[in-house]
Amino acid sequence: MQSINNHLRRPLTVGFFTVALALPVRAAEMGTVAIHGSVTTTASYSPDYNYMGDTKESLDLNHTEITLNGTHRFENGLKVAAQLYAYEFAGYEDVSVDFANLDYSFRREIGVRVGRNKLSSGFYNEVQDLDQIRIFASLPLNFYPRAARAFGANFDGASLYGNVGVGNGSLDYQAYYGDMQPIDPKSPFMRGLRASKADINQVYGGALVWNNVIDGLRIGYTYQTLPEIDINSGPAITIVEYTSQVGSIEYSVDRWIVAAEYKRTDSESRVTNFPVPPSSGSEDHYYAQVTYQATDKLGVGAYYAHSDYTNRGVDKDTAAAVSYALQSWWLVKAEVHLMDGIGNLGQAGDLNPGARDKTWTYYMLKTGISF
Amino acid sequence: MKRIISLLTLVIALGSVTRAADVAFITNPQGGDAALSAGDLKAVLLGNKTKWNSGGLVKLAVLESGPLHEQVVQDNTQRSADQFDKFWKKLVFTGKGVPPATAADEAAMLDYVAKTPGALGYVSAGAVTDKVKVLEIQ
Repeated sequence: MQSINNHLRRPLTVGFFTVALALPVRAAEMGTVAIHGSVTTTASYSPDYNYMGDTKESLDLNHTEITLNGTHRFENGLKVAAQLYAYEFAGYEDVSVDFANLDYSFRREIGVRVGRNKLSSGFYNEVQDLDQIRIFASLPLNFYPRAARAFGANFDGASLYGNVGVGNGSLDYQAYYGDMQPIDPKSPFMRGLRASKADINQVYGGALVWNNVIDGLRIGYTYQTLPEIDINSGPAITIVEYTSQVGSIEYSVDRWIVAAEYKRTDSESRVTNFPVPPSSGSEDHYYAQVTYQATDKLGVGAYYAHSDYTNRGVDKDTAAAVSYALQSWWLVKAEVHLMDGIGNLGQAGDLNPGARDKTWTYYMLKTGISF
Repeated sequence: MKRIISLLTLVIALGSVTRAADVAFITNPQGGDAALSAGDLKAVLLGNKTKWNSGGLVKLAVLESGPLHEQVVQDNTQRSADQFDKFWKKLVFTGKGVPPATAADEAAMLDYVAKTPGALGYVSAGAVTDKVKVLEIQ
């Protein structure tokens, strides 16, 4: 992971408009390498709090993302794919290799992917940056926290995957093992954690998706364990074991998509350099959302999300969004969040001294292009 | 009146037959299988199956848009054309798939399949030429 120099602050925001004007609207072919990419930028505002940027009573251009990938399959079936991901989020900037892997499918039922791979958690963690496939400007904010994007999107290792026919439907499976990237101490997540170091180290888990039990229905389950997160907070050195399980369901019919997910996380912590008793905690998150593609250009959606934190109470997020396609490759979106709870207000290290009012509002405007 | 009803019934029946038979999945004469199951065809269209049963890569091509494309993806993947497009974007932007080649129209599709060993595409049944092979869907 490599940080951009401070003197290049906001280059991505400026870059958005430059790239938006320069990009072709169709995917490019360089020989037989398929090149795709996207650029998005988000402005956020809250009359109440700073949230993922300087948003209190000011419209903050707080999130810009640029993605560029290339994919090629050789005649022997070996596939190589890589993606660069550059972003600015809440004043933090980074460029990283999002994935870079070799992939070989022996047959429909079994394949192996080695290198830097996207990390599966729920239906949408792998595609959290893929704005063009959804109506919402953001995934449910507490279920898929953007502050965790700096480390929670990929891992270095191997995964075994396949698709097995089951009756009229099929079952996708994936099992993986690897290491996650060290978390940059300057990242918004670390500001929120108030720690000087957090290395996740190993990760392993799996995912199952049962497709088309009936037409348009997907049911999924993902399991993930981070067995030894090493955290330095002040003088204390803490080892945390973290496990998450997500149950997912999505049903598409005509222009409607209904989805719901439930996530439970369990953690056990032990301080290694002080005589402190070990502790444990669990968190529960769920949300339900519905979207309607009213026309080829216009889509609307709403969701309700609920998060129950170990020590921070309950957060509720009721959101509504509208998306409009100016072109097939150019989307604009507007979204409002009616929040009840401040348990996750500081996830990106935002400062809100004296924050007590649990009900607050958050607005987002987003535009993005893809090719 | 009876004649009119009979005529209408015949027209509707003929229309149904025509609609059910108006798509032909085509392959390059070199490589590829003679037949695929409906399940395997769906797996190919959704990127889960990338090799022919007889060996060699399946080089999938789809039409960019249009009623034939909408019909093919709806009938064979149970997705709308928009959902099919978004599905492939998910694969491409997660490093899990090589996107299918796209053909602007049926003539371009025929040309691509005829020139590309291992290619699989589709056209209207009436557009099939002797330069491609029709794939049986079981």
